[in-house]
Amino acid sequence: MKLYNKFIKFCCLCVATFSISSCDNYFELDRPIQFPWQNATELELAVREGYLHMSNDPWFNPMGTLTLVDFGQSDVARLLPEAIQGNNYAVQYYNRAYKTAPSDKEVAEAFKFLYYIITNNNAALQMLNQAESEGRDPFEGMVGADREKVQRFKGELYFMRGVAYWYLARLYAPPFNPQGNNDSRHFVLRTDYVTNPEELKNPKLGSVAEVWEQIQHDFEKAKELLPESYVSSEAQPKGRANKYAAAGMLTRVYFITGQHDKAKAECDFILSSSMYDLSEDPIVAFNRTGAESSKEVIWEIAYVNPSTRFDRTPGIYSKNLYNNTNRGGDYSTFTVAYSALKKIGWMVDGLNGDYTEIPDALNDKRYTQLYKRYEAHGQPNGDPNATVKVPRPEVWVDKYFRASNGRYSNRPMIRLAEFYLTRSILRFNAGDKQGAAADVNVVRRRAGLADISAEAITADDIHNERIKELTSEHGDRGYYLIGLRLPMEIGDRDPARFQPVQAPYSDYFWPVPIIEQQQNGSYNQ
Amino acid sequence: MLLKAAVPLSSGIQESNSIWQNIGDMKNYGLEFDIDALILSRRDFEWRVGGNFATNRNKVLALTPELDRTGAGIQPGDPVREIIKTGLPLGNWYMAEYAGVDTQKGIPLIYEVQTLEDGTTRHTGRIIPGTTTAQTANRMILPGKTSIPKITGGFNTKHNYKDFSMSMFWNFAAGHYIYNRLRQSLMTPNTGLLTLSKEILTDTWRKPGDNTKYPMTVYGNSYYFDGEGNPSDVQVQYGSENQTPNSLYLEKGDYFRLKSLQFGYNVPVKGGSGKTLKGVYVYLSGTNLLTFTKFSGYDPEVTINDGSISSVVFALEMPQSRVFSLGISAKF
Repeated sequence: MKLYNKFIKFCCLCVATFSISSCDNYFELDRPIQFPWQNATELELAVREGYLHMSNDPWFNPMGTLTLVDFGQSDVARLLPEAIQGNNYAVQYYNRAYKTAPSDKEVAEAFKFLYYIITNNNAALQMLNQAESEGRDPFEGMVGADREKVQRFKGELYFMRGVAYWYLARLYAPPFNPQGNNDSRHFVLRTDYVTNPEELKNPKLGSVAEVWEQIQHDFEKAKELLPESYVSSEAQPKGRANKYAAAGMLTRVYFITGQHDKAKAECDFILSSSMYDLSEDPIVAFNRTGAESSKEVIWEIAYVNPSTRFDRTPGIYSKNLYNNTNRGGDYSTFTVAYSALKKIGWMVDGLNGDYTEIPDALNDKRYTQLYKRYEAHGQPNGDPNATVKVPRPEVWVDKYFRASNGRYSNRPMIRLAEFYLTRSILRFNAGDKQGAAADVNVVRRRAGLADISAEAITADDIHNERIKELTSEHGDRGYYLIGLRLPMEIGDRDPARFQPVQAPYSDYFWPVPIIEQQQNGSYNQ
Repeated sequence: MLLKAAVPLSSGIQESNSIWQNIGDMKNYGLEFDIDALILSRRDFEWRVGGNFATNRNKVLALTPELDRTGAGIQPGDPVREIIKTGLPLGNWYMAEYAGVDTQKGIPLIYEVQTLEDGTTRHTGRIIPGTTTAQTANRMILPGKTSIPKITGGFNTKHNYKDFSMSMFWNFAAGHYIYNRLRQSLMTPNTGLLTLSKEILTDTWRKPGDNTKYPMTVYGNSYYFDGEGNPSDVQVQYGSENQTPNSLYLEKGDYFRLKSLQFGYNVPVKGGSGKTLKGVYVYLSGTNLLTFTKFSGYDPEVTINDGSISSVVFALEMPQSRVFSLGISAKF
């Protein structure tokens, strides 16, 4: 009897349930998209995700890729014939093979990490913007402090999305041409969060103009929303963007797209801040880890010790570094070009066999702290690497792995010296030699060098100062020449096989990876 | 079917850039036999055998209408090694097809492949240097090659003589192919595994005229010959161990294995039901004792990954162990 009653009760329950649900389309009901963040604290995870992918992968992270690609393609790098080429695409960068070779290794893999940032940030921004357009808070139960935090997070999301598209635009599309149409399309430009697979397969490819407009918009929004400084809940607060970081990226965008007045205005803004100065030696930007601070660095990728990640993260930097405790050795492929060393007065004429070190170089703190000269293997202070055994003196970039635990060295992404140098050339080009000299001398004084007078200063002085200061950092050389519409010379390359790359640099970009072209329907139209 | 369909890299989907989707139709068909027989039964001796045998053919009947119209298929893995396409078995191997070594230059060669309008592939008749670009652009749908065995089965035999017993179980599978990425790594000197195959010393090209299975061993798969086979003064890459699979490392996974063998003895125990100890059985058994296979990896009995629908062997998986055990079973 008991069992019978239970059975009857069960049947009644079933009937009641099914009668109040519409059985017809029970399995066809659409579930509305729900974002995974339920409060401001959880939203911070989305913000950190964007930063993470810049440097997360050991060999192919975007941060290192642009550095390696731009340095290798520039006139200030030279390819060591003895170095083992194996696991990277260094030879193709040096040979400027972007027109004929498909993207491979770093330049192929970095592509996907940039889109991880974009997709993640699009999702979070969509949620926030949707809430704003509907006149409500994005989360329930928010208080004033939360709202302030969320505004900052929004700024950081715009910032990293701008950074991701900046890297895509620098690597996979021709540079912006102020005199051109900029209507060629190379990669997907997406600013919303896609909710079904079909839309992912035929997305819109942005034109060069549209992409740069988006990048500029994102950094302008970021600058508007980000505070100058803030107390962060991060255990390791270094590495998050602030208003000056956004201004720094904006300077770069304006400079490379030919909007030089605006670039100068941003430089003025940054250089007027009391938060940063060049009071510390050049090495300080490069030999810190974690939360150790630097007066010069505006934005950096910070590493913690112990790292929660397999610490090969900076691995890509071993491809163009020399380091006392961690000599890149077999994989270190690039040194500073002899032609550049001659130009900047650090070596007499290496290309023609005169490797004499010019004594004045030893007065320059950058030369002694951030670069390393090795003599020929076997000589005193000769190349210590037993595999490669470089038989000539070479000057290596020595900016990376400089903290006491090399692998956890913070990587400065934006530092103050750059804006003195940028403003210097902008002032010079506008006829303000006084201002130009003043700016370049701040950098020179920090390096321990004497001033250049306003009467004697030339554009080459400013160009050379930038080579000494910023070589190999974040694609600076290519960016600088493109911004000034100067030719990219051949450096140490064979003049019979290479020509300078002239403005508008229309071929100066790598194709998107083959697999993207195969799977993305928009490329076949 | 629940399949992992690749989406373009620009989608920014982390972990292999693919999304699970419920799409398509598939058919499996075959025959299965099962037999169990008491061969001999005498007073002191009994012999029992059993076995089963199954064949399986698998075919994808449809994917999405759009994929079927273009004949494109789904590439579920990263890097691309397999393809799922209407008309083919699930997880058909799809990669550059190795065509041997150029005896004069020592470079690896592949078959040039043409992809037709309907998505099928065929050889053009040319054999070309297997550069990275060539391997990526000339993938062949290898006919009839998948990770799913075409026949599987096993048989067991059990003998009892007085208090002694012996039982054996054999199993087998055949018709499937396994991608031996471990061997590819062991033949490539700079992958960081720090172990190399001795075939590098015995079966790789050394000088013009050598006719060997493997090309010249070089660091980073880089040779001084371009995509046309002409000498080049810069290194050109010929595939990489983790990004470009080719059929040189695709092996048959057929095997026939003595899965278990056990010898046992029922120790005579005196006394009737009044005694506490009712019986003692002593046994010696072994698992995975003998394997007959041409597969060069550790173990041809590998799982099929449910994301890429393929069997890929690499350094990270432990093979099954051969186990011997000695046991006593007592009944109280």
